[in-house]
Amino acid sequence: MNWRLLSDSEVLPDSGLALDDALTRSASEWGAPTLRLYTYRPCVLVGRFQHVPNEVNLEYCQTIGMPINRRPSGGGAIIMGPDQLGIALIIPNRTDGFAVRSSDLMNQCASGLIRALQKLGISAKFQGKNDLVADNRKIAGLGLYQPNSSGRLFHASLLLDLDIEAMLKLLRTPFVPAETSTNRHTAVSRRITTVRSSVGTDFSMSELIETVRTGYEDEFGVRIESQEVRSSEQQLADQLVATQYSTTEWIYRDNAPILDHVGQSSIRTESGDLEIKVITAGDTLKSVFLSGNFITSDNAVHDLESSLRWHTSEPLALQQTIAKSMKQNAKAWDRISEGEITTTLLRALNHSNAAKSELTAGSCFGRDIAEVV
Amino acid sequence: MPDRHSWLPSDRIYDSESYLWAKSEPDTEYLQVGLSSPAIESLGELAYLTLAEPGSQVVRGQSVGSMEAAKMTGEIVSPVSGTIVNRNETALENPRMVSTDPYGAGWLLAIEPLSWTTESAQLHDSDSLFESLPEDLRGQHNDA
Repeated sequence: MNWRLLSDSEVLPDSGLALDDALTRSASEWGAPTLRLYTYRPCVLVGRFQHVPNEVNLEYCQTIGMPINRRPSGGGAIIMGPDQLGIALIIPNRTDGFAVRSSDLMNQCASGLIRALQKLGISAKFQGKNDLVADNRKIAGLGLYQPNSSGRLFHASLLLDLDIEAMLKLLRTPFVPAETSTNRHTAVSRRITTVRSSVGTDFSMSELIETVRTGYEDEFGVRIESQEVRSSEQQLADQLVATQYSTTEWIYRDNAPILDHVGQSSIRTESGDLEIKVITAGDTLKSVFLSGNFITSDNAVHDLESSLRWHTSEPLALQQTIAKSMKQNAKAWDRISEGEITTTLLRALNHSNAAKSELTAGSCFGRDIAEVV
Repeated sequence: MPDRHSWLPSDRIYDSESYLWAKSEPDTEYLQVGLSSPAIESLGELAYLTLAEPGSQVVRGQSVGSMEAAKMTGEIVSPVSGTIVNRNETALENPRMVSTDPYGAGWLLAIEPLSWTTESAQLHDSDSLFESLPEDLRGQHNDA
C-alpha cells in the first residue's frame, strides 16, 4: 500500500489545523493513510480541553500579535514555528495493520517517529500519556483525535529546535513562576531536548522532513509519495476554518466543566529542599513537577514525574506508584524517603482541592484563580 | 477481568461504529445512552467530558459531546436521533465515573427518540457486536 505525503510550510494556525481535521473526517474516502509534514507560522496552540488564560500569557501574545489557536487533539500548550515540525498521520478507520485500541495505536504511530530519530542517532521512546522522550527529556508531544467513524488523526510536534526564552514568555509554564528566569530556563532544559542539540545546529527542517518520511516508510514497509490535497478535502478544510478554527468560540471556548487546578507544597529533606507542584483536572492528576535543590538524578525525577502523569488522585494508588518508581531508581533516591514525597504530593493535592472549593463557592477571583501558590 | 456478559451486557443494544449503547429507560419513553466497555478499553480513562444540553436536537451519527481520554480526544457520536431530555451532570463533574461504571452511574444522556423503530434495526445486540469487534479489542474476552 502506498501512503500519501503532504508537505507544506509556514501555514496559518487556523488553516493548518482545519486541514488536518478535514483530512481525518474524509479519510475513508481516500482509503490509504496520509502523512502530512509541515511547519506553522509562529503561533501558540493549546490542547482541546485547555483553558486559554490558564495556559497562555494572553497580554504578551496580544502585544506582539502572536496568534493562538486550539488543536482538536489533547495535551498541553505548545509554541509552533519554523523550528517545530508538525506531523499529522491520518489513518482511515479499520485500515489493516493499525490497532483499534488507542494506547496501541499511539505506540504504533510513534514508532515511525522513533525510527526516524534512530536514523539521526537519537534513541527515543514513547513514555507516559503523550511524550516521546530522548535521554529522558521530551523531544515530541503526541496526541490522537477521532472526529467520526471515518478516520483517526495522530498529531505530533517534533522539536528541531526550541527558543526556550520565547516559550517562557508566551506560555504560563508550570515551572514555578516565582523563580528567576535563569532557573526557569534550567528547569525547562532539564525536561526538554531538541533534534539540533543532538545532531548539530546545521541540521535543517527540510532534512528533518525527509528523515521523518523515510522513518515511516521503513517502519511500515510502505512508499510515501508526494500528492496533492483533493479539492473536496480543501473545501471541507475551508469550511472548518470559517465555522470553527477562526472563531473565538472555538479558540477561547471554556469547554470543560472541569477546570484545571494547581497546588504546590514543599518540604526540607536531608537531601535539600523539595517542592512539588501538581496540576489536576477533577480526580485526575494531569502532571507533577518536582523542583528545588534536593540532590538526585534528572532521570529519577523524570521517571517519577512521568509515572504520575494522568494518574488517579486516590492516595493509596499514588503511594503505590511513588513507591514503585522510587524503587526502580533506589540509588538516586537514597536521601529522600517515599513518605516525604508522598506527604508533600498529597499536601499539594490538598491545595489544588482548596482551589476547587473556592471556585465552587463562587470566588470573586473567578475562573482565573485556578492557582494556589 | 469482567466476564463477557458484564463487559457487554445483553440488556441493551450497541452502535458498531461508535461503540455507544442505548437502552430503554423503565417507565419512560426515553432511551439512556452511554459508552460501552469496548469503547472505554479502546480510549483509556476519561478525564474531560462535554455533553450537549437538554433540549438539543440530535441526529444519529452526529456529535453529542466530546471527551479527552488517556490517549485520545474525540467526539461522542449519537447512536440515535431525537431530543436530549437529560444529561449526567455527575459524570460531567467526574468523567472517571464513565470509565469505571459505563453501564450504571456513568451513563451519558437520556434521549427522546425520533425514529427508534428504524434506527434500532441498525444497532446490534451484544452477541452481534461482540462478533463484529476487531480481534485486538475482544481478544481478552473470547473465552470469558
